[in-house]
Amino acid sequence: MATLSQALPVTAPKRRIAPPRIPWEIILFSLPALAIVFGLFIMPFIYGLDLSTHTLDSKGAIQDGRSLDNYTTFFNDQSQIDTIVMTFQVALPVTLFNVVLSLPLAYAMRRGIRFERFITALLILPITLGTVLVAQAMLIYFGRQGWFNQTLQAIGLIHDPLRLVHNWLGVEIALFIQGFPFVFLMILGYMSGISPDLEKASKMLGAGRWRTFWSVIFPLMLPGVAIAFCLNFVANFTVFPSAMLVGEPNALTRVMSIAAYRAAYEQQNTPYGTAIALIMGGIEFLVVALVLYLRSRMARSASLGAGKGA
Amino acid sequence: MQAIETLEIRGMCRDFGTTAALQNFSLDIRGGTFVTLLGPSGCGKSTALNCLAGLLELTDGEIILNGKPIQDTPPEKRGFGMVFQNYALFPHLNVISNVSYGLDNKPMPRSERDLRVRWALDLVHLDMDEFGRRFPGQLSGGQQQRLAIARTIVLEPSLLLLDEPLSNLDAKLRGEMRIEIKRLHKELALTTVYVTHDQSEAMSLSDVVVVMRKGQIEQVGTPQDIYNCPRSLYVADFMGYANRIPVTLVGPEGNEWLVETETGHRLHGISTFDGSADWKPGERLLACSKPEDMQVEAPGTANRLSGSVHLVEFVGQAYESVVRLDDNDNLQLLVQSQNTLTQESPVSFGIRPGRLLLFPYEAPSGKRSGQRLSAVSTAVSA
Repeated sequence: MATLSQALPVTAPKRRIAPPRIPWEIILFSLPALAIVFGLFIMPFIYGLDLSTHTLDSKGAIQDGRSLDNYTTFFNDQSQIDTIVMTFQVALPVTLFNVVLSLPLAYAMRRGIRFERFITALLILPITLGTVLVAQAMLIYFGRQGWFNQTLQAIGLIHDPLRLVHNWLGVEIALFIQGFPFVFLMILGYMSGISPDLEKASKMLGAGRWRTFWSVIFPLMLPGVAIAFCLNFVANFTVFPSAMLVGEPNALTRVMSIAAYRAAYEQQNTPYGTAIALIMGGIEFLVVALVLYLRSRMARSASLGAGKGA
Repeated sequence: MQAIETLEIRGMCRDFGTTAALQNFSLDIRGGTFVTLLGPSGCGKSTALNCLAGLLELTDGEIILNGKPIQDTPPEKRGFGMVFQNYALFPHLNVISNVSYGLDNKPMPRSERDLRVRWALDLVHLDMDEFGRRFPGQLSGGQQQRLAIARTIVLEPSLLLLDEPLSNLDAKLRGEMRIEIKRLHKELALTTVYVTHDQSEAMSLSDVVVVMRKGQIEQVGTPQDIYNCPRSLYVADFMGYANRIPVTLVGPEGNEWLVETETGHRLHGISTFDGSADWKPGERLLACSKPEDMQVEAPGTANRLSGSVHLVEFVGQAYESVVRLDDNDNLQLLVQSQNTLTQESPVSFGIRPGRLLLFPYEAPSGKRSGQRLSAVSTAVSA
């Protein structure tokens, strides 16, 4: 506005340039949403941040003074550091598996296939069931005496029943059942948004399937893959019910959310539990930031790399 | 790249489910010619192009390049180039990378590749130093079009396929790019197959025009052939023979035919229709002509009709009027005149001899020839 009025001849009547109107209706309409975000997210976050800086006295009451003691305790406790590693060991493999499996499947289904509705419905079903029901079903189906083991034994593939629940693998399976549909449908949506003409153009320029996928489809998929990875990783990193029900909550699947839960509700140390939860959030934030950074670097190198053609 | 001497298409068919999108398409293309597939949307012209490219498999038929069948060769091995209607530029690659994309599939020293990229961009008048690092999204429509062409011709394809390449451009750019495409064809002597629904593009660019209808070839010929001697009412309609007068055949007269309109006026027409040898007096026919061949100022008293002016429109080189024939309110014709006419005034006009074409009678489908007239009248009455 300012530069425009300066560029105009001096004779242009100045008062005709109206000041930008304040969009009251937009502000008013967004107030309820802002109030909800503030009340349900920002307030508890600030409350938790404050709570995590307090410690308990010998009687278990919250002390007044603020310090970072909870955080130093956490990072000086080797068992808690192990918890972080364990959480990564639970969250990372299944997230990668979900993404890596979704990519070729979505690529194959990008133009639509037969029974697509049916397959989609089948995929959405586990989401609607909820984690506890899936965990219960898994205990029955994958248990020592479950159908799965019985069938394998009956056809003679295995002799002793496989241990598929109450361990790391059980959590991975549960997370796969719940997370894969999300990742797959997201990547499929992204994939079908890529114009089929780009693939045709690539072929007409002499590129085979492989080069077309890596030089055209994949770079264009990168933003979608990164977002799907981030969302699924965050969901898997905060796993709680599955790790409790089909995992080994005292050993290999003692993830951070279990540690926070135990601190807060078994040791009645809410400030320490809150601190663990905030550290968990901080780690998620760092991973998401790292993934998005890598994504932008890969996108840049893809465009430059093909230019230099090295 | 192996240059085209002959490209023979034999009985090419393509079905989609139970509908035949392309039936028995046969065409011989000599090296260096510019062939246009012309027709309305859904006539199978794009299907034919995609079959040629190898992007669609044939249901039946053969494509023979220099004596070798290639219908089973995958598109990336055919060595053909294609420019898409929406350009299909790679949005994540800059101009240089888009052009060198195809070169990267071939082993060649980097210096040669750079040279070729520059050559291709120069050819389409896209300045490499200014635009080379830009992404397709940062180019205008015309520049994107140039880039799409450069990306294809940098590979020196033996056959260049263009799928309605100008349809996304505004009128002025379309004219410019049409000349550019013509120039490129002359400079590179590229054998080209061009798909369009625009008859003026087809006329100005082509050596051979293939008019298509419902998946089949309706007529093949030079632009002059197609324009002056359409072999069917369909082609005539497409070439702008907008005026249709239902007539009854009286009989042959010299090289021409004498016909009578419903109001008893006698006219002389010619036939470019193949089956006209079987015509007998009393046969119902349609006499078709272009507005520019129906002139108010035409001399003489033969081949004249009269009516009253309904609407007048200025079309640039002349005035075009909707005229309702006397005693026949249902028949409206587009007539040209050098001077503007007064509405509702009586007018008489002559039809240029030899430019009134006769075809077997077809009931008006309502959509075709009436379209232009009714569009004009709704526009005026609104």
